[in-house]
Amino acid sequence: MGENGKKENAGGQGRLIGGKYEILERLGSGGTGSVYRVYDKRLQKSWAAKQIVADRAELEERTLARLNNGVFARIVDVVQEEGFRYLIMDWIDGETLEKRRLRDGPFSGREAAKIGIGLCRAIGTLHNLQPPLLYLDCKPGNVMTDSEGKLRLIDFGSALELCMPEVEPLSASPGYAAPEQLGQGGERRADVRTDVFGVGRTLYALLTGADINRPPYASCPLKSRCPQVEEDLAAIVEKCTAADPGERYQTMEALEKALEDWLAKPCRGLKRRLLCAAGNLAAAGLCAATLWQGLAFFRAVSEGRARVEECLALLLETVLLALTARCWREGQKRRRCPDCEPLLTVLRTEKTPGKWLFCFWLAGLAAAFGSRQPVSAAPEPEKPFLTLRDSRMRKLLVKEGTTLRTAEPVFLELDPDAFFAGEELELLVTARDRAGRLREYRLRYCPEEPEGSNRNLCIAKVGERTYNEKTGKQWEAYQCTEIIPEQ
Amino acid sequence: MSYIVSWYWDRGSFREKNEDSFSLQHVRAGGEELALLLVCDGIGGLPEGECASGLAAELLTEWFYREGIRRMTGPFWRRRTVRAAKGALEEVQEKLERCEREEEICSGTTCTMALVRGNRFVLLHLGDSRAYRIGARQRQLTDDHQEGGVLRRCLGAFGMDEPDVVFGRLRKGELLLLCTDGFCRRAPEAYFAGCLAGEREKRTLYRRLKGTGSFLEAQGEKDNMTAVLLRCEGGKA
Repeated sequence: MGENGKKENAGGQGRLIGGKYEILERLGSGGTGSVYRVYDKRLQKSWAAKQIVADRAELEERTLARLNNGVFARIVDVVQEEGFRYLIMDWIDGETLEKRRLRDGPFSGREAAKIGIGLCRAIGTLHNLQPPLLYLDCKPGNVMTDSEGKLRLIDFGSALELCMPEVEPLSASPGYAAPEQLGQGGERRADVRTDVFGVGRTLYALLTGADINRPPYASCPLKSRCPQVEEDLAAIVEKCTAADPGERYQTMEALEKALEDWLAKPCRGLKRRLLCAAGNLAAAGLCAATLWQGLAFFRAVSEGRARVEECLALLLETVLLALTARCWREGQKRRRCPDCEPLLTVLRTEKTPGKWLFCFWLAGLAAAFGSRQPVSAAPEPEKPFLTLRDSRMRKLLVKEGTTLRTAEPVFLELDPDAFFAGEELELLVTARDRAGRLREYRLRYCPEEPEGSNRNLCIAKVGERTYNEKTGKQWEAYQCTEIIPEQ
Repeated sequence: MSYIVSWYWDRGSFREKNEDSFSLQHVRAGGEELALLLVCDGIGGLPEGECASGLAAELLTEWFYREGIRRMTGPFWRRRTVRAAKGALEEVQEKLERCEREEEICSGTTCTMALVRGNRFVLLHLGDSRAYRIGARQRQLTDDHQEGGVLRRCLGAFGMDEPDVVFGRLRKGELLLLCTDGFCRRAPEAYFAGCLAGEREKRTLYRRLKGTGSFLEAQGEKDNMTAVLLRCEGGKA
């Protein structure tokens, strides 16, 4: 698979995969791996190669191997190399909806509805497999239209079988993931309605032409953000993206039917508005009639001429009024969010995109606002080998470059795994005493002291090695018992 | 009621990365203007400080649009919003703790957040960043959660304490300033009142903030500097 357009990165160009597929260009990288366009010299044909870490490849391979229709790319070969697996798949000559959105802006209602119907059929195919398969990553970047105009789904890195126990963490593209996929309101879970949410958000992005991975995300109702969208279509999208899965379309077939009905009757919006108005008038009339009846009844009671029939009629009207009020309240529930118009949105951070990957999924591409992209892969950060603790063994959070003032002993907690056994570490501690004099102390530390050594140890071991259940590491606690000042 | 907002964000001359992150969201919802002002300062000396502060800023901004606006436009909005915001902070805390478990990266960040509707605001605060109300006088609204250079409360893998909550009101023309410690540590007494109060245009507010940053750098400040500012243009005088 791939898309027309300029090269994103020339990394690996010319390298051979499996000795037979030459990398032409790197198309991009995502949460599960990188994607390349490769050339098979024997068959003189282009393929797409998806690179996945070997231990994660099995599920995506199994998923794609079960799919064999024109909507999905077939796997034609699998190559294992250097800890990665490369899935060699059909090359799709076309472009993603994301690229079209960036280039052309919002889609028309009819075009978006047709795309929605295509998505429903494609994802519905997955749901109808045995066992059913959830796609869980529907977004414009994963939907392509090929040279014949047909819809193709790509990237099955997030797909899950419905009967599988929960996989932690559930993959999710920010902006398109359903609340239950992100674990809001409880543990993470997913079912067919999660895919309905994804299709709804995809339609939202296409109709508004906006990048919903950035503030204000998709928080504003579609109609307020894009007034030209027909009301019925907006209502369909809003129903797909309801926070409560029970309020969404329950299957892809139901959503497909709703979109087809809308396409068949585009003027339905006006009829619905007229019906709503008629309903409101009827409710108002009922309310007025009940009030009038009530007043007449109480007047009759006060004059001593009330009848049973009048009492029952009043009771019936009150019940009808209560039911009408309940229906109206249910209808109002649909409006979850007030009209929201962003005036200024700024978010600045130098958090490296992709770092803490699962957090990146949840937090969105806000890093795109102003973060500095690393030119090359960032080096692994060094884990601190030294932690400061107070007398109650609580960690002390000290800013680099600031002075620590304390009247209590300070404990230095060293990670023995950071050192080689038998090697000596010297720590220089600089301190100013109460009289203002600067003192320097050299502390020597050796995780395992060789026998027969004769050195002035400044640190004594306290207690046995303790086991930290949280991190699974063993720690040794040392306390300064004898300080030998520098002569 | 309308607002003028501005911001300033500078790496300083000491650190390789800017470990401060901030978010400024100004929206109109339900016929009123609302604002989110947020500054987060990653704990220096610990790894991935910019990741912790960036993560907190991103998650809280996403919360604002997902739930915060709805809470702020309802009745009894201040108490309900504070309750919901505390829940959001707990979510951030849980994510940071998870990072420590799974990636063995122990990091933390301060967090000072203001939610403004009309001329009223609520502040939630953890750490040593600050919030000021600036009018005729400059008044610090938050306490520094540190003793002798040691941070006592923050978001992060060290555990989370209950944030300080401040309810307040702005008069017409008053400013609400949130800033990290690099922006206020070396500022003289009442400096911000003299420098920022009375400015009415967005452009001049930004120039004043930038000028303040240069002044503090000249005073010897090397740390990251971040400031987010809101000026209330309407309300009771």
